[in-house]
Amino acid sequence: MCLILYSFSSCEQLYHPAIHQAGGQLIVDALVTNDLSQNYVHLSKTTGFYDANQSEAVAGGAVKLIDSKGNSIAGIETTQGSFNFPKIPLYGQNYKLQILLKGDIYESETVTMPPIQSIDKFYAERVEKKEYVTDGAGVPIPTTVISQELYLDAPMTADGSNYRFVSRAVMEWVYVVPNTPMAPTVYGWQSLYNNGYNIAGPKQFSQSNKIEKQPLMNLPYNTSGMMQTGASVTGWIVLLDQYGTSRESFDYHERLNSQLSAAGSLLDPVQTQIYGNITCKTDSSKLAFGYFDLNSTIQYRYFVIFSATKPNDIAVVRELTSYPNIPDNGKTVNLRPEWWQ
Amino acid sequence: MLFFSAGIAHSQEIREMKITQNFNKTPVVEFLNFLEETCHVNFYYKTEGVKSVTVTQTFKDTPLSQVLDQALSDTGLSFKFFQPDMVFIYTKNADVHPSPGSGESQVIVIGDPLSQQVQKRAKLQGKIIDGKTGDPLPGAVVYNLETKVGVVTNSKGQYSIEMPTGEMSLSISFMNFERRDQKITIIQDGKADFEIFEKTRTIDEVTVVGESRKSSKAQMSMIKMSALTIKELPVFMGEADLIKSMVMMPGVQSVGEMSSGFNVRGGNTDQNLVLVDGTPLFNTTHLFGFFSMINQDAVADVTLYKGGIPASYGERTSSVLEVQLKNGSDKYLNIYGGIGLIDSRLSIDGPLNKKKKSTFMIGARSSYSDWMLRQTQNPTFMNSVAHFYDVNGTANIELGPTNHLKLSGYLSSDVFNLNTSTLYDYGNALGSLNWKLNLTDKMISHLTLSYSKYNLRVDQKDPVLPEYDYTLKSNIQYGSLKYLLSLYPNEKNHINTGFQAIGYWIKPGNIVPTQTISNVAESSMRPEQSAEMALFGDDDIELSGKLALSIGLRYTQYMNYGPGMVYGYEQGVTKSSATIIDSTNYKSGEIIQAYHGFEPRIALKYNLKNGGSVKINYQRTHQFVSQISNTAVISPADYWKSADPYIAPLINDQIALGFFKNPGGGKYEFSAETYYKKLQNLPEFKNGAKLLMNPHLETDYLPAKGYSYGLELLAKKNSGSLTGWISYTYSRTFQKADGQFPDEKINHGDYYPSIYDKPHDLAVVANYKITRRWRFSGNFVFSSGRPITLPEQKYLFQGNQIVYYSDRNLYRMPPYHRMDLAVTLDENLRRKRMWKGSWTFSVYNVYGRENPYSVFYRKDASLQGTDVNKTQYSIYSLAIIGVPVPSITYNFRF
Repeated sequence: MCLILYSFSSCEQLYHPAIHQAGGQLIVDALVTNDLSQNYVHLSKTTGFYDANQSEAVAGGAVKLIDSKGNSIAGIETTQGSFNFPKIPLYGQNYKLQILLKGDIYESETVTMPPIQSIDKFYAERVEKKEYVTDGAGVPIPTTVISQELYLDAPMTADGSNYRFVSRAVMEWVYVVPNTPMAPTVYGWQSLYNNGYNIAGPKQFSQSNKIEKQPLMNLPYNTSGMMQTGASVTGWIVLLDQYGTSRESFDYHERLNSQLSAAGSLLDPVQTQIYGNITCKTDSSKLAFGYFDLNSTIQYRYFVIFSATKPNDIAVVRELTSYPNIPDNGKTVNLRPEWWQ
Repeated sequence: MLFFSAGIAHSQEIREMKITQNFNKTPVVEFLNFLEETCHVNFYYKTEGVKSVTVTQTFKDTPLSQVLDQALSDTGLSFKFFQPDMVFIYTKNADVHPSPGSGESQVIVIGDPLSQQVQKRAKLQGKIIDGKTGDPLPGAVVYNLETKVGVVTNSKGQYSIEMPTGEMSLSISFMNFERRDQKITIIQDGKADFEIFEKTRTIDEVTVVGESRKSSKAQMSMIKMSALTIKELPVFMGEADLIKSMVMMPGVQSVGEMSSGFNVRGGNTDQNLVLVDGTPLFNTTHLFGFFSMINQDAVADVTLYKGGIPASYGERTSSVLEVQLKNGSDKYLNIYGGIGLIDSRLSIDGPLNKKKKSTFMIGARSSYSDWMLRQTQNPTFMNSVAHFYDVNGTANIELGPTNHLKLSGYLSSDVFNLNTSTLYDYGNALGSLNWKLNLTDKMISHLTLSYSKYNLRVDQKDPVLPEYDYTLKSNIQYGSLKYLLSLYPNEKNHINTGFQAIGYWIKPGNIVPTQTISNVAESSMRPEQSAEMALFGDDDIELSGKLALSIGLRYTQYMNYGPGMVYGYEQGVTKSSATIIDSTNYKSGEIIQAYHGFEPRIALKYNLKNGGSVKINYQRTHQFVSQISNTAVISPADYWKSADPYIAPLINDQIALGFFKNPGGGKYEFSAETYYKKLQNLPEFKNGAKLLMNPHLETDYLPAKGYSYGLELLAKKNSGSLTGWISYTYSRTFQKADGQFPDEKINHGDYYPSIYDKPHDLAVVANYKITRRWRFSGNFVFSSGRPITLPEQKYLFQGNQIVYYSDRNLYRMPPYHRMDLAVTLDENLRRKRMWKGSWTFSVYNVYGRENPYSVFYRKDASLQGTDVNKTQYSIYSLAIIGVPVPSITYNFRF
């Protein structure tokens, strides 16, 4: 009987078909925002699917941001293939990106700079999810996993109703040697990031005029693997970058998510071919991948506290008004970092 | 020599004649002489077999049949009426049935002996019946050993064979039954029913019939399979399955283990017209495609037309699969079923009334797969739901000797949720009325009224965001009236003519919020209404002993009618929601779009000197409704769409040529067929097309062209200890979408392999009788992997690795191959035993081949570093059933 039941378990195995791996196609990863620190154009080349090397930056290119009146802002190459713009685009204006590379001209579609949007509400809710953990014998055992899910509500207006969110949660932990009054206190922190492209817009079949309960990321109660043994969590600093985008950008990122989520599907996955908004004007046979994204951006920060020992207690959320730089992870002894909450 | 006369006994009056007489130790010969004189009836018997028997009974106004019943009840004798005035008295021993080598030579006389020499040729008609149950046996062979001409019984077990008058030897055979060799003297046209009995050793003879033997028709590209053959093949979880049996035949394939339906000569699944007693079934599989929708116990026989489709059939372009549900026995009440690991089934059939002229059959099947899923220890399946049931029934009502009415019904339900927040609930409901009336000996009228409905309901339930929960419903309803008149002007000519009117009512989608406080906007896609009218006629003519012609024509008129709305689009640009410039509304009943076309059907057969034959045919078919899907495997959630001003009907032209030979008096069969198909208006879709709830599907639709060709070889052994077949198919199928605008081109507008392009397909099926009670069967299948699209390049974008795929279907999966074995043990072989049970032990995928169901890529954990720019992907294949699957099934009948 066990064998029969086991037969339902699907099995995966590595498959290494011979595929064409031409590579060398231009990639344009361009994000231009109202924040000068978030303006960049990266030019690189595709690599073969099995290639272990990283994408190679493209040298010798030049980039320009051209508005509808023909005025242009030239990009400054900071490292090979990477450019910044010295000015920010104006809200409501139309822009296109132009790239000159080895005698060819690549151009994006024209994009309108959206206004900065706001957040109506940021909040955390306790969620229980049924998951399976494997015991020593490899048998899955149903387990309830408790966590705090972070959500936000945001408006949808005529000026903008499409968003992209990038969030990072920095867990603060403290370790004090027990029963040793003079022992030093260790302050540590560890970052968690959301995966994929977190986008929001008018929902399918929805009549609502706002973004509601948009999931951002999940803060676990069980953090034992993320900090020193015996330490306790004092709270989480959440850094939330909100980008106002266009419908076209939303659709593009939705296709990216669709491609990313297709992996490992039990049912036959649908391949989503991704085409961006950049084409080669001088030679239509040359492909260019990537996207020119023109976004308004704003960062919000919150401090979230919830008790691991009292899981039924409501999480406390406090908005932060300072924006210091926080390293990805680290620890200090007896010295609390300046940004510490 | 025992001499008796036989025929269908319409001797009701004689049987009812009243007898009043005392018999006291009266010798039976004297008793019979008395009856002969009194009732003017003739008795035929062996004197030595009855001379010791006496009769002691008193009768008063007792009908003759009861008199015989009572008088002979304890004598070891029995009787049977053959002609109206002829009764055969024989020893009551069920085992004494003429069989080869028995040495007993019984002769049945057909016709009046006084009319000898009046006719030079005569036609013999009748039924072949299971002597144990009284069930008619469809697919049984009546073979004239003198003329070397044979016929196969139809779905009601009826046969009709013409032969020269005189002494003839008939061989009556059916798989799993003792062959009956019967000598007859045929004087004039007559009727005779023959009972045959199950073999004491229940070894099956494979009776998959590629072509009717020595058929005068030019029919080719047809597969006929009996229910018993299907039941004998080793199958997944021991569940006999007609579709999985059909894919063992040349030219029939399936996408994979979890695929719905089947593909015929490279055609899409929705291009097959699956008829259950003449009514289409819109979804043919249960449980992700693991099982066919039809309970095998309810099936009498199955016929698949891959080509040479008779003009009386239309609606779909690739094939017609005609499933005949069983009629109940007119003699006994039968109860039968099976207990398996996934499901159990139970059926009952028998006579409807005391006169035993009308019969019924009702069956049901239900799964307990939910329980199985919970035991799998696999989180994906433990959080899933999957169950189904189906119910089927027939009532066969004899309104007169040549006037029959058959009512059929079918209902099915499937529910599944594969570890997601989406629950799928779908089902079919079918009903039909078939009325067959013999207007004259040479004219038969068939009227079929059909109704079919396929319902889909999708419940989206999100525990986190319940205000976005919704229910999506879609359905298709089908109604048809079909009239067919069959004419038999002479033995060499058979004409079918008639008309058909079909209505389609499609609700493509309707979204309803399921919470009181909801953000879901209720919305509906416009319902579609359409009608398809057809006039058809075909003529099978035996031009000479060597040449037969079948010529037919079907004219189809299709109308898509209001209420409805059609968008207008800006000229010179690709259709999109942004290029809609106006819309036109149509009132109820107003014609929105009409299409029409002629569908010629021509077939020619030439008999070769060596006993073989060569056949060629051409056919055109139209299809006005299609299933909308952009995945490789059709899923229950795909919906149906009727042709409209932008989506033209699919048109298929096919030509086929074949060679056929049945050496050894039908012991062996060989066939080779080659075909070429050309398709127009194949539904394809743009990259990233939105199909669900799309009010302007034409903006994502691409009319593709396609072509297919192939060679199909089949070698079969029909009798002996070892039976079975080997089939091999080489086939290719390509399509192209080459629209005017860049987004209307796939693979640069060039031809590319269809998802069903699997060049090599081999099936080997064998049945071997081990002992009287044990039988063994096995099959091996091999097919080329199906085309797939794979990533070729990768790049980093905003911190994630993105891939760029190859041209569509540029690559191919690894080949599929599998071996299945089964052993069946019959509990008891005694014919008279009421309860008959059998155990089937089978192993599916004996050597545990991990046949890939899908191929995908994902990050390879073993190669990852911390730098996302160096993310390493690998390609994986996913096998659904990668281990041997043993199963045990108990089937019973009483």
